[in-house]
Amino acid sequence: MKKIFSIVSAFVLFATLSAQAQTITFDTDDYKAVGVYDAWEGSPFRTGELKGNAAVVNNHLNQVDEVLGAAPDPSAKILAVQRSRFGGNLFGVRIDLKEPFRLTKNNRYAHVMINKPVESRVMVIGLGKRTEEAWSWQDGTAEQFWAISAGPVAANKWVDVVVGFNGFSYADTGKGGIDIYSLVIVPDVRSAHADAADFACYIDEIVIDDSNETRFSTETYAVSFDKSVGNQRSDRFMTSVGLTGGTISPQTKTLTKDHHYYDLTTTTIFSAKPGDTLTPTYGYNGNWMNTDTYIDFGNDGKFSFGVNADGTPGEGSDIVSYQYSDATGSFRNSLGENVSGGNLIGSASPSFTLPAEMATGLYRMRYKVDWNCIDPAGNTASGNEILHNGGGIVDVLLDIHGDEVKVSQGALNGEVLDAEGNHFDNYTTAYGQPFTIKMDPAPGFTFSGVIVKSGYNVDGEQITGLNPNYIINEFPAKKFDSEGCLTLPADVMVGGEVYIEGLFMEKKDEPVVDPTMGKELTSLAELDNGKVYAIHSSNDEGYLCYNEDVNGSYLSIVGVKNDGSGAVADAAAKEAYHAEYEKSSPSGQWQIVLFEDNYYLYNLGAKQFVTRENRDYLFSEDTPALDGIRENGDGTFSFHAGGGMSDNSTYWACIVTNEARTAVRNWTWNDHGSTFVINELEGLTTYEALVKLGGEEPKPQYDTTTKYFNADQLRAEAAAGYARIGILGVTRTGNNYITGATPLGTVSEDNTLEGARAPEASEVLEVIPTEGGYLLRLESLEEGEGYLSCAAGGNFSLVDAENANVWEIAGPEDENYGSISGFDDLYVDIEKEVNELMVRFISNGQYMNGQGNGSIGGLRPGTGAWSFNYIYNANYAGGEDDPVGIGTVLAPEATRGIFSLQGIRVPGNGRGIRIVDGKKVLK
Amino acid sequence: MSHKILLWGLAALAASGMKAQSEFTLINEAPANPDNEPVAVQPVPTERQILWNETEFYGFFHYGMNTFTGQEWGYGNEKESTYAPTQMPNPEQWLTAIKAAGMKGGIAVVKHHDGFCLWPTSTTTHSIANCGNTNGQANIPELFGKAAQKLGMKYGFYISPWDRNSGLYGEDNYVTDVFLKQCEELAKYGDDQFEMWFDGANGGDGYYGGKSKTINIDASYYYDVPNLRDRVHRICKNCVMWGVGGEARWIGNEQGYAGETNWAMLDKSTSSNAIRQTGQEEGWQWNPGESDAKATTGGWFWHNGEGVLSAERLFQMYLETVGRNATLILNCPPDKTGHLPAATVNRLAELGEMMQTRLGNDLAKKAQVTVSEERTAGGARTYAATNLTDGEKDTYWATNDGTNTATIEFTWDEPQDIRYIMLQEPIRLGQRIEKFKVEYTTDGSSWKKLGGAVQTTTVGYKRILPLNGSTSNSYSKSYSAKAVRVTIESSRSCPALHTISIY
Repeated sequence: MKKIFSIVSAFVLFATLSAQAQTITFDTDDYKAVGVYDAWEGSPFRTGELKGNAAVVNNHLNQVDEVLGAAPDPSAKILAVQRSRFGGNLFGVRIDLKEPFRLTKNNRYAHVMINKPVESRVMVIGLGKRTEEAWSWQDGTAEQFWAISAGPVAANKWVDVVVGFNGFSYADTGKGGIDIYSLVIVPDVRSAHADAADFACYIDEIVIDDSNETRFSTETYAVSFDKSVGNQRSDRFMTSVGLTGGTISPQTKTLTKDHHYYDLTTTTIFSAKPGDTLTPTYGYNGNWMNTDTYIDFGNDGKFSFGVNADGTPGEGSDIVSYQYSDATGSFRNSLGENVSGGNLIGSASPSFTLPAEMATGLYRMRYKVDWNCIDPAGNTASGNEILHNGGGIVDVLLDIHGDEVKVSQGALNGEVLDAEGNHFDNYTTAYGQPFTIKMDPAPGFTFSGVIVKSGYNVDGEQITGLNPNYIINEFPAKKFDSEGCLTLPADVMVGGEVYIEGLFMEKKDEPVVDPTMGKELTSLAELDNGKVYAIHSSNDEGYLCYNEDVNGSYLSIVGVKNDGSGAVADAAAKEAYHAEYEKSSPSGQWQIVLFEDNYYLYNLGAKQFVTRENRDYLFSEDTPALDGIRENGDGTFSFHAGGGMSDNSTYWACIVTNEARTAVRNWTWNDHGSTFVINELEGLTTYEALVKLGGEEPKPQYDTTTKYFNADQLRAEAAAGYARIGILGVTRTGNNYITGATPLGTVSEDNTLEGARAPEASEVLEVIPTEGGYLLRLESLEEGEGYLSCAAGGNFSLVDAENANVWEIAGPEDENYGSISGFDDLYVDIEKEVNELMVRFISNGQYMNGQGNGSIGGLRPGTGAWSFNYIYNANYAGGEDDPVGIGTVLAPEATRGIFSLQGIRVPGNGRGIRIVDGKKVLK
Repeated sequence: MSHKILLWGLAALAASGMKAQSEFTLINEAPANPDNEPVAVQPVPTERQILWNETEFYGFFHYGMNTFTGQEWGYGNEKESTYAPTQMPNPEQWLTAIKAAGMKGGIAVVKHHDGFCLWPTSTTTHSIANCGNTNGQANIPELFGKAAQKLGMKYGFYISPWDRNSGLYGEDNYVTDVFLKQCEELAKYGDDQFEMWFDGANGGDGYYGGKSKTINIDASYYYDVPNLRDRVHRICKNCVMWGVGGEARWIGNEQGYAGETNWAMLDKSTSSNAIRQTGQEEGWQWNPGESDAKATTGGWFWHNGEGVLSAERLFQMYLETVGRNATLILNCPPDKTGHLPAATVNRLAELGEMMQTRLGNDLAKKAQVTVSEERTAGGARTYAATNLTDGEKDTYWATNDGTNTATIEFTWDEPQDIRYIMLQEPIRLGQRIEKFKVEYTTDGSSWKKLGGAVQTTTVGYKRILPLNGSTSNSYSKSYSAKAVRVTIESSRSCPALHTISIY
């Protein structure tokens, strides 16, 4: 049951109604006439075909509201109107006024109580005329203003709707002006074309005055606008909220920048202790705004905002910090300081101190950016509404806590442990500190991640009252390291208890990759730390392998065709030795790694390195190096481990087929080392061995062959499943840039990128204005450059260095126009679709459109759905059947990928729209 | 909303418990629908907005004091004698040239921000009446209106609300004593005007009768638009008040494009250019978009040495505006002679030929049309598939209530080379279609999607889809089609189309 509101006074010494208020109660003769009205010129209610139905009736909706604790409308009479489904979207009831009122330049407000069965917007229309003699031909029915509610009005209860309006009129009396003779209340701004029946709406207590405050509200944590409305201003919006001075300091939550209201109470907890002095922090794009911060100390579903005469928060007030308000009659902040100017959004918000006796638990905390308004619901002054001024509201939870947090877990087919492998039995850990967990799947199982609940009553429903009891965060398996460990961030280790649900699942066989037996190596210089090899005796004495069934400790052999001088002694080993070599089995796959001037031999089945002990070559849990590998000069190699390398050394690897279960050893003190052929296994790439040695997986080499934008290359890329365009040499010239400038990297002699990295937000793509459009310059490694040319209308072309158009890329659907600055991590994603290739530019998790606006075109958030269709340049045309070049590019099953500017395939990042399994999803 | 309750004196709490029944009784009334027409999806356009939409493509003529000063925004202190056309201005030549491009009307600038009036107004001396040269005294709106009527074209005038010359600007009586009166005078130059253009530029620095200061006004109320509109409509009943006038919206850019998704509806108070480009499906007001763009490479007014955009580029603008449920007002500035330059005239003719070549031969009329469903006919109206190709805008095809998707197929005996498809909704029933797709087949059985990556969402008054998905090079590729299939995938109510053309 919701908590019942009590009366809260917002301000000190403020009257609630102006002296010029006009009121229509319908209880007395305070109106002239009522009837239906439709703004639709073709309405059957205008032609007279339908007469409509409106009347003043006894008030049957005078019950006590359990939340308010009082009847919102206990009056005797109310106005009823039949909302006809044959009326337009601005169909309503017209109330002719006893006395007209003058429209002024200043904002005035219409307060209307309304009770209707459909949730939709409400509008007030004023009908009137000019009063001067020259306008005497007007009959007083011209629509003078249209004031619509900020959002849908709740159904089946009395709601006090307040809308603002103004209009041209002389300031002084006697000069004439605009008088309003009738008000039209449109109870249901909506197309009723699909309605099956009419319904009744009820209206009462209409007041015209100068106050924008509602008379009552039953909504908890209300805001003055539709919470779901998207960002109305592309130039002004909140970007983050945070807290310093608390337990985890600083804490910051980045916003998605696409709304005005953010309810983060199910995902975000800020933390503090009683008595802490806190400073709320705000990120905002724009200026001339102020911050206001609230904590619902009473957990009663609303934020009171009374202030003392000196501007400090009043007794029992929930407002804790504000920068700028004239609520006291002069401009002050929450510290009681006089302030001027008001452009304070870039300055720190005033700090505040939590009560020393504040009870442990969760409280709702509200952050608001607004202009000169401490109403926690947001400014409603006409022309300065919070949506219009670019403000926003963010609700989070504030946890007032003790020193420790309890940790528990639950899972099927496995268990979540702490880093040391301890169980979570009566377990506590320090509050607000990073905490490492380890996954322990049951045999035959692996895990897909964990779900972490942080807060209170974590074993119950998340929402049972005004605020969530806990927040929920998910961590997928890819966040864990190879040992199955993950360090949970500090801001998850909050609340009274943290419950970790392990998500264990049946392990499925890894798909077997069947490589191709590739070329034979002819020199050690051809070795590659990422490649995988098959190693076999040049005398058909078998392939080196790992065979757990024969002897998991020692090197084994398989695929023997030549037993040498004697039969294998052990029958089981013999059978294994003569089995067919399977190149797809990790047991027969090797890596030969050169690391810090040493060679290492590693088996992918055993997942161990090879060494020698006594006379036998075996696997080691350590990372021992070989002494070396010898090139024999005939395309074969010999391996040597332990004791130093020399021609007279005794430690060369020898295949000994007549030995039981130890297939590779040193047989005599003399050099009886076997000679081996090393074949590349194509289709396999891994840096498993290198990483185990402490090396770093290298960045892929830059593929220069894809730099040219021509049909053949893209056809080839398309056939392979994807294509990519690398962008290098980001520079800044003159004023034609998007943001900042730093080269992304330079290409070294070996075709790798030096200093290569994804671009920062400050990176630049050169924008060169040309006639009718812009060029987005993509530098090439080799001679000739590729350009992305944007026509003024937004269609891009890819052109080569000779400026001959190569492709035309059609512009995508228009989306919200965003700021051209602040791009970061710009990716180019090229996907294949039937008959075309799709090029998308992605920045900051959003697909970018290319239609410009204003003086600088370029990229802006959007669907990013570019496609290229054809080629201008006849040089690339494909003949009579393909006169324009690429024509229809038919490709096999799409392998989609997003590539960084270095050509590295990366997962999608951050927020925005992306393609998942071929479908566009919003994240 | 603040959380406080207003106590009405000592009002007692009413008894709680079950709600009483209302004594208000609903009446059962419904309009007759003998023709079984679909219910309109609101909001819908007024008759004058429908007529305005049908103008589609029209010209804009920025001509006046700035032509002779080289300014785009004159300060307002220019001497009247500066306006000195070297020949007699010839609005008929302007309109003839744009008619050759396929435009159906034109809007002449007759007072720009500099305040100089191109007709002998009673409201100010800053007009052609005092320019002191014969050519300059040509009454432009009068000549323009007469020429348009002679050529069978629509016409209207641009009159700047912002007046940097007037000493009354910013005062309360500027609107009643100057602006409204000027609008009334212009309304008398023809009661069949189709549009009055109100620039959104408002306030700033200016001459203001010698004050030479900055004056800012609140455009939300200063011009008393509701009553201005009431007055103009009384004289010119079909004159749409554009921009500030509130009956058609600025499309949000001056580059000649609308959103591929473009609703004719909008919430009146929006100030977002991005929303202007797409409209709002749930907008409460019928407020269709007009795109203003320049055909020349200079400014809005003529400037020495300027060039003219290519016909291909202009055609692209057409596809991205008229072809996306907006209208296109294309600016062609006359020069100091009071004529359109030859280069402009030639380009307009070229554009006209291009329009005729590309969109002049409707192949749909030769096709057999079949649909997945036809609405049950009424007394005097049918909703047959053949209505799509009968060339009549007042007949239309529709499905039955409750059917919000449909397919429409055009089949030819011999394959046709096609490049464009055009669809039109009967907008007096509101804008209904949310999503559609177009496919073709060469062999009659395997279908391929057309339109590239173009978002085939809204239709509205008119939607033209270049089948190769490119507006900048739309003609380069044709598709040999034995049949074309239009699938309406989503609609706000039963879909209706009055015409489909295939070129």
